[in-house]
Amino acid sequence: MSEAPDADAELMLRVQRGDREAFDLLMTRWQQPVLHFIFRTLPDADEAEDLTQAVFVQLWRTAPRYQPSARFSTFLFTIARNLCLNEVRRRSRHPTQPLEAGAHGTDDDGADSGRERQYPDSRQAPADLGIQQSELVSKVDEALSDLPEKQRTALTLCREGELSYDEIADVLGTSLQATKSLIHRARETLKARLKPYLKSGDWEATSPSEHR
Amino acid sequence: MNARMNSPDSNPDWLEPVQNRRLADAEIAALRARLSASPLEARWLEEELALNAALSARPLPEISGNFAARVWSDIDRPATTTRSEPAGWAIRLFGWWEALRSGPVVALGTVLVAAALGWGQVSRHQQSVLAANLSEISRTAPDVEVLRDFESIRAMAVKPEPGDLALIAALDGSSGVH
Repeated sequence: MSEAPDADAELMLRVQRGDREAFDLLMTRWQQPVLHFIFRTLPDADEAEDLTQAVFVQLWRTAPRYQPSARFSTFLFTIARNLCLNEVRRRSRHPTQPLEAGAHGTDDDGADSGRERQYPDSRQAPADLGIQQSELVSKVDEALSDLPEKQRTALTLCREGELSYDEIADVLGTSLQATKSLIHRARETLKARLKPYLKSGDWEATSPSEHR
Repeated sequence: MNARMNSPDSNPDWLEPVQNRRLADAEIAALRARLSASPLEARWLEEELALNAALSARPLPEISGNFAARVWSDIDRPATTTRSEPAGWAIRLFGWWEALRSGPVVALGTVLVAAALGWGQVSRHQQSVLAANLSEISRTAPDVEVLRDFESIRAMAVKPEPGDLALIAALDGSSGVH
């Protein structure tokens, strides 16, 4: 994704002029990485997609603020990160309120929430996991959620957002060195915490195709 | 193994690509071959690869097929307005009315009215008390004739002057009073 920043910046300049086709191209290219990034913070597929939707709506509305000197990926994931942080803060204040009352088409009172999905939904359900695999996945998720926010975000942007260290540094507002340090510390913490599983679990690096 | 706990600057050059990007099978094989002579680094590489595999094992959702349509639907949704634009004066009048209908404004108004009524009560009470005091004063105050020399009497010394005492004694002697 990050290997064509100039192309994305050019598309974003077209979006500033109201070019919907350019916006569609950006959405097609970035919707999955943004969704994956958000899903690692809000591990609910429906809510993650709702927030991803909000990211792109926000992107369209804030297009006039985009400066071509900034990388598009930085602009986009800054929006995504801020919306994630806002949602986390909102949940800490109102833990029982869902992200979106109309996530499944209607408000609690049955009224049209305005986000009703009028179009066919071809979303695929996640693949079923074995019990052991599910437990191991939950251990990883638990270890990730216990990381400090900047470490977790840096690691997630690297893996799910597929951003370079420079781009991650821009999103976090840190230096390149600090970003490398964040990712390094995050990985060291995870390795230490998941050591038993890494040694004997299903993730033992036996298959080259699993590596990244 | 202690080297891995140092700052990223002291890490081997192969570490960052392993952590940062998706390596092809050939790259992995080449790394393993390169590090085979260093058991510590080889083990380190395997741990990094195992962590990568663990992080990748977590399932990720796929974006729904109608995602773009929903985004555009959100973007294109008109702003919610329930009434047509009224004239300027109507806006101002309605604005005031809307403000008055609001709970906090009503509460504030109630407090102000109550305060005004209370102030009126206090004021009337004070006036009646003042009137009563004036009436009492007028009843008990001395005559004007008496008050004519008031200033002169006020200016006199507290202790009587010797001349005054002599005069008083003389007067008392003539009247038979001591």
